[in-house]
Amino acid sequence: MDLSSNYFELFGLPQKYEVDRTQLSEKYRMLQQQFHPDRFVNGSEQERRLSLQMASRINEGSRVLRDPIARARYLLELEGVDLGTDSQTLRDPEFLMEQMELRETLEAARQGSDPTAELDQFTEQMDRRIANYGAIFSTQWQNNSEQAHITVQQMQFFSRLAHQAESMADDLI
Amino acid sequence: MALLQISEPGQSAAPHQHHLAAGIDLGTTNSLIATVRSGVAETLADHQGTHILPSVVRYRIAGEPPIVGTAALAASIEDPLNTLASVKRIIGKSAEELSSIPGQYPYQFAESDSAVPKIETIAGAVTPIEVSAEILSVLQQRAVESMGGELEGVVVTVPAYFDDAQRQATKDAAKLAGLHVLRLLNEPTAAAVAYGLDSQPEGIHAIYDFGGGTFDISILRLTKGVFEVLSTGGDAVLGGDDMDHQLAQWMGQQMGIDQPLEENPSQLKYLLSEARRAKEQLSTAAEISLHLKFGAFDWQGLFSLQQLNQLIEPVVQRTLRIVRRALRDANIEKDEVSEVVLVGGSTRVPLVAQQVEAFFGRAPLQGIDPERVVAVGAAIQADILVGNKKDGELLLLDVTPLSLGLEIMGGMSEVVIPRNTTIPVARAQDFTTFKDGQTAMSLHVLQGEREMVEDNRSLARFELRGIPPMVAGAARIRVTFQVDADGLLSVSAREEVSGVQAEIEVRPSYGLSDGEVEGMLKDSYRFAESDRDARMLREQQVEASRTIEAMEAALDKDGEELLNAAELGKLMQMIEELREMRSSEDSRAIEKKIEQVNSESEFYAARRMDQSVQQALSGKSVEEISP
Repeated sequence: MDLSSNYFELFGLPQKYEVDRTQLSEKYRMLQQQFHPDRFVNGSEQERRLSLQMASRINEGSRVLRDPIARARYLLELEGVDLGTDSQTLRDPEFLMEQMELRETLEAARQGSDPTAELDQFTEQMDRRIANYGAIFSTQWQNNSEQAHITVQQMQFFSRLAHQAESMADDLI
Repeated sequence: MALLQISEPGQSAAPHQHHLAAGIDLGTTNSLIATVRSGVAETLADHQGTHILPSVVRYRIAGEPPIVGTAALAASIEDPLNTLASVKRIIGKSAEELSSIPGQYPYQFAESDSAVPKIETIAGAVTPIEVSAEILSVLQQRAVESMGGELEGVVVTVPAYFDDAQRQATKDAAKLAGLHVLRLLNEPTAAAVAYGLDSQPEGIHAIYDFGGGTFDISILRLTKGVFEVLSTGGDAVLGGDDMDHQLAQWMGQQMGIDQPLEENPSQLKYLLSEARRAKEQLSTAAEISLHLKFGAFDWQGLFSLQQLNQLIEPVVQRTLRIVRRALRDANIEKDEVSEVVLVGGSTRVPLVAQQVEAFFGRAPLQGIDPERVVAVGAAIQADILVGNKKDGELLLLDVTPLSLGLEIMGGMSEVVIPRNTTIPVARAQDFTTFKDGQTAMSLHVLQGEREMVEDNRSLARFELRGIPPMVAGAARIRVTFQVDADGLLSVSAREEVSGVQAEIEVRPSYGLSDGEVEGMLKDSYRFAESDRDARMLREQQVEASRTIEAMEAALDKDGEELLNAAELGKLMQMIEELREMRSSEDSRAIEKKIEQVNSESEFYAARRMDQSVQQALSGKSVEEISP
């Protein structure tokens, strides 16, 4: 079945890190208009099941291609790179030092005078870092650099910190 | 926009036929049913011309059918223990969870071996699901009389923030009432549809839905006929009821009542109804005079809007914190929101509307009666889903309100599907064994945002057995979560090395088992045995018609293209057999025949999908297809 084609093919996009968001969104809506279970409410049982599978795949593909980290991981996976479980230690002391500092910043934000705003700010800061590292990843990936793998892991560190900041903000509700 | 015209498998072959469908808003305080007639969605009234049905059920001695609605509401003070209100706040909750919110429910919960709480009444113990089914039955009856025929399907709305157990329980209630649920629809999304926001070209909309018992916020983006919910947030137990409780507490203090209010159910119901009245009066007046009298307690005095605002301010502030989080989840700034819509009875409270306006810096839309808007939206969606609107290209893409995950070592929750993921969705994650030679694995499915298992909602537990003994960490167990378009979850697990498989449809740990639902259907005194048989027969006949229609529509479209003569002949013969069987009186035989048609036409459905995919992927870009 053609849905086993990869996500880039599914959305008619070239297989590379930078994606055309507008094209992705347009193709996404077009595919969902056609395959969403709402279009098969009166269909046979198999049609309903198949449409559920399709719509799920379209949603997942769209998520992966939109998300800077999932997209990077996916590109590596398509090339057969085994990412393993995602908690391999990074041996770059400079990066580890930065991590520790960021953790302290996060803790300070939580205990700040306006924790919600400070945590939001922290999350935005992490998002910017992820975007910057994404640009680095793109070059490395084009050059088949082994480093691409490490860059993805670094992006995941930032993402985890952003996630922690969000959970802390949630706890304030 | 011509996108839908590419192909539409599964659509009815009979475009002139009008299908009867309705939208139901099963609310905490009030419920409504609506339908689309001559292109206009409208709520349906009872014989007295009343549209709103209070969501209150009064049980009477065995043999006497329960009373639903206004008459039941009127009896709530004289007969508090048999008159059940606001059950939506407890539907899908475990008995254990209920004990942790004391005082709110002046009912007697029965001891039972089922994990679903049962409320003791004069007519016996009833579950919140059965109570909801009573309300749905009355609405169904109203629709049948008003529309002159049986409903083919309904869209039932749920708060966007309802979890899996609450959704499942709502669907069970509809099933118990004999309704065919086309889709569970999130209330804020329904409101957006009702406002015809889809007729606007583009934009981001915030739907602030503050009802009697629940609060929801949804951030939606509309682009070319597709409504994408970007994020949703809320609190399934925060509503106007909470304002009433604040107010009732205050009234109790004024009257000099010093023992906890929940110790006297009649008194609590009296105070709550006075609180509601005061709140409603203050939506148009600045100050009212109160005379509270219950038993020996008697108090008179003035009560101002300002005093009310002070009492309810914390409740309103809490909703705004939830709005802030939803905006953050959607990655949207306040000023990007082009419309704010107020839904739900509690938005009539002046402070609520003022604070929302101040927060977004723009006047919210309030044109449609906030109490009817959800039912109207549900009716429009039901009309589209049942197939009445051939060019109904509006598509709703909703999200999961809460994260779904599994328990891992150390009592931690590992998220598999994060909150605000667009549904339907399937996602797999690999896990492994902890000990050498481990042959079974216990899987604990959770819903919620917290790190520790006990802070989340436990949805279900199941076991994967027969894993071949291996060293720890060698097995590769792939657990797949599938959330369907109703937001309901099913989970399967498979050991990839040996292929051992286990699968469950998630029935919450404290939900009803299929057996229990069947049992309730059987026991329901609403139906004499003959009625029940007749209903089962009718259900199968409707299903048979659905199958025949779908197959004929498909064959008509591409049967000759995708099937050889023998295959085509076979399928046509099967349709004929089913058509013949449909007019028989044997519901079991019809059911079997439907199953047979489904399984024998499986290959054809797959070919059709393949073809659609090929067409979709054949490189036709959107610009080429759009007008």
